[in-house]
Amino acid sequence: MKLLELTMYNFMPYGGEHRVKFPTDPSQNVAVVFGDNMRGKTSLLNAIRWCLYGYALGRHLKMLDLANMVNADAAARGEHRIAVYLRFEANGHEYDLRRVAEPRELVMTPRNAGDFRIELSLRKDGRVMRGDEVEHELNQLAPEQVSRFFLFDGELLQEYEMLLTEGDAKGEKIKSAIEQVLGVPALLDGRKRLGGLLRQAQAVQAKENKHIAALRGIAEQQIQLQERLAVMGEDLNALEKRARDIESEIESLDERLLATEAVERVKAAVDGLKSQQGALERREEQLREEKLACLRDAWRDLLQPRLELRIRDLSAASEKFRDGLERKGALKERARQLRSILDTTSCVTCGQPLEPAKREQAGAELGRVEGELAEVSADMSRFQQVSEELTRLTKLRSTGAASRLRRIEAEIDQTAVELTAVQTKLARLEEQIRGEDTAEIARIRALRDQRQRNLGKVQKDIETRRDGIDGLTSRQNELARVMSKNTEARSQRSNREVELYGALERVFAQGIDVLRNQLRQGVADLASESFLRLTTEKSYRGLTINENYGLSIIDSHGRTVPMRSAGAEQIVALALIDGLNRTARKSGPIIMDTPLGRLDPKHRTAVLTEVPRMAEQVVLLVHEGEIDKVTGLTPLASRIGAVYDIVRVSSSQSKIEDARTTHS
Amino acid sequence: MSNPDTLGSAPLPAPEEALPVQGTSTRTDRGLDVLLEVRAQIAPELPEELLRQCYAIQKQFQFDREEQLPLVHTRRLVEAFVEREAEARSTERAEVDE
Repeated sequence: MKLLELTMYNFMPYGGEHRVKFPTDPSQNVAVVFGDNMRGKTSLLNAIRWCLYGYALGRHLKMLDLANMVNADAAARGEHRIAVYLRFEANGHEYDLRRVAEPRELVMTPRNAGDFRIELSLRKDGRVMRGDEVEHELNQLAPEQVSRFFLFDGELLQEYEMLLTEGDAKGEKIKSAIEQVLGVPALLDGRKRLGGLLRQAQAVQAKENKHIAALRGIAEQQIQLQERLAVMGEDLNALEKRARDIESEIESLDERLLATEAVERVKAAVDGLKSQQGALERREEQLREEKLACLRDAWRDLLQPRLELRIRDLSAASEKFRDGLERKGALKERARQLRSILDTTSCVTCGQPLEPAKREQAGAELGRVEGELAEVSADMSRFQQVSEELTRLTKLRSTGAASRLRRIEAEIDQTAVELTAVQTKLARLEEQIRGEDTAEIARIRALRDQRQRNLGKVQKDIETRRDGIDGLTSRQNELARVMSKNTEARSQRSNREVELYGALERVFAQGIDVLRNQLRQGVADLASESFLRLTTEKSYRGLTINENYGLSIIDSHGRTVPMRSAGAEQIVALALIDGLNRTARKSGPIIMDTPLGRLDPKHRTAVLTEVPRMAEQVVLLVHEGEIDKVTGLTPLASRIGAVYDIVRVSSSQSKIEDARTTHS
Repeated sequence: MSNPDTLGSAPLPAPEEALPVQGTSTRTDRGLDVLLEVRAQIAPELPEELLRQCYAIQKQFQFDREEQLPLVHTRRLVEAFVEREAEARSTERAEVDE
């Protein structure tokens, strides 16, 4: 398939009529369209998508409402007709596809898609095709199921990260999409159809063989098995439908949660701040209580200087009294000893008679001691008074309330400042999520989790049913083979049909896994080759693939590189696209919207060098941040067949200009 | 949506007439190659031509939402094949009797 020309009328920012011609020369198969953000690059991609498939995608792959696709200026003038024509060639035929949307009768201002009437027409080599042929023809040329691999933007590239996680629901969807590209559905659907036809043929066979005496019993069993299978088949269909409905509901809930992620983050921050606020308020309360306790004792600080003087005096007096008491005690004891010497004539220790001189000496000392004793004053009552006063006054001593008070007040001020900051931030965040029902978000999250659990249960039931059906089908096939061997039965056509359907079904069934493995490995090999050309890290060995077509980078030691940057992700995704296209699609354009946004200059050059060989025709929608208009096209220069600029006319209007003369 | 009542009159696509689907390989059809290999291994008695034609039908409709049409075509294919076989056997028997 090769695009020839795109014509847009009043489509998104393209008010009036705009045309883009695509290069058709195989040696100059690249078209580059430059456009700043919000000027209309993605709208160009959407024009092709809408023309082919009847829908356009916005951010996060959300479908855009048709009413919002009409150019704003045209709509303001009351012109609500939009049209996109796409001319292309494929398989030696020329096609002209036209999709037009107009307001229905009596609708003045369309508000949603339902207010429009759509006309779709397809001419093949000038001949208008019948309405019922159009969809089938387009499915042969550019199936919608594989469009994500040739009409994609940078956001879609991020989806491929999910492939690395086996079992991820979105990853499973992308895996299914990849298998569509590779042609596996032809075998999957074929097996299913052949299985259904086989059962029908077996039913006919059993009915016919009932008339053959030797086979009556087996035929009866066959009929019973078929009845059971029919019931189980219906159960399985119902379960599968239920699983699909639940998956669809989960997807829808996920979309709502995605939209509320920002709100949830803010809510979490609000909860954190509220908790902080509570802690600060409690601290503030505690400090105020400490301050009060401090103030109760603060008056002592006023007395402190005089009190200390008095306490010092009293302590000195007390000390003096104590010394006096000790001295008195010691003197009394000495006096007692001397008196006892004088009262006896012999030594109290050894019993020897005492010399008169020694007695005289003792007498003299006694006199001195008694004299000193009389001088030592130890007025016990006074000592007691002093002690009591000292005890009282000590209790009145300062507790350092002043310094504590200062510290507490400083901390109160600090806490108040922090509290104000928290409250200000809290108010701002609460304002941000005012009107958002965070309880509703919590409800949706809980509901989503519940649905996921339900889905798990249903999937288990599906597995059980399938196992049951497989068991009964094996039995049925066995019985059918037995019946086919009967000479009388062999002449019946139903037996032959059962044989043929059975063989076809077995071949298709086994073929599925074989094909998947071959294709997956084929994709891995080609993607790996492509990756090695695209990456600037030359020590990498290549890529390895998982069950979901998720690709991992292998380093020089044969190890999987565990984490990769957004830029690396983009390179791997581009390698996967290239691998898929070369494995599956031998012809067809690729239209890439800002595919280089996350790449450094070296990788951009590597990608641009590879781009021309990725498909028969490549259209790059880029802004100057990705490719410099003057120097950035050098790797591609010889392969560029068309260059356009999307030029701003006004905030709601853009136009497309041929820039080839400027950029050649 | 196709009318099942009139589907029987629609001609079957011969394998060579089946449009090469842009979403799948055309030069070497891996799907068909795999089926032929598997047939040789597990069901050599299955007529190759029947397998090719059956695959062509599945491939033709693999992206269509329409379910009835490929079912009817597949059934007609097998019925026609069995019919031709039966006729060939009758003709053989008639020749032998003669």
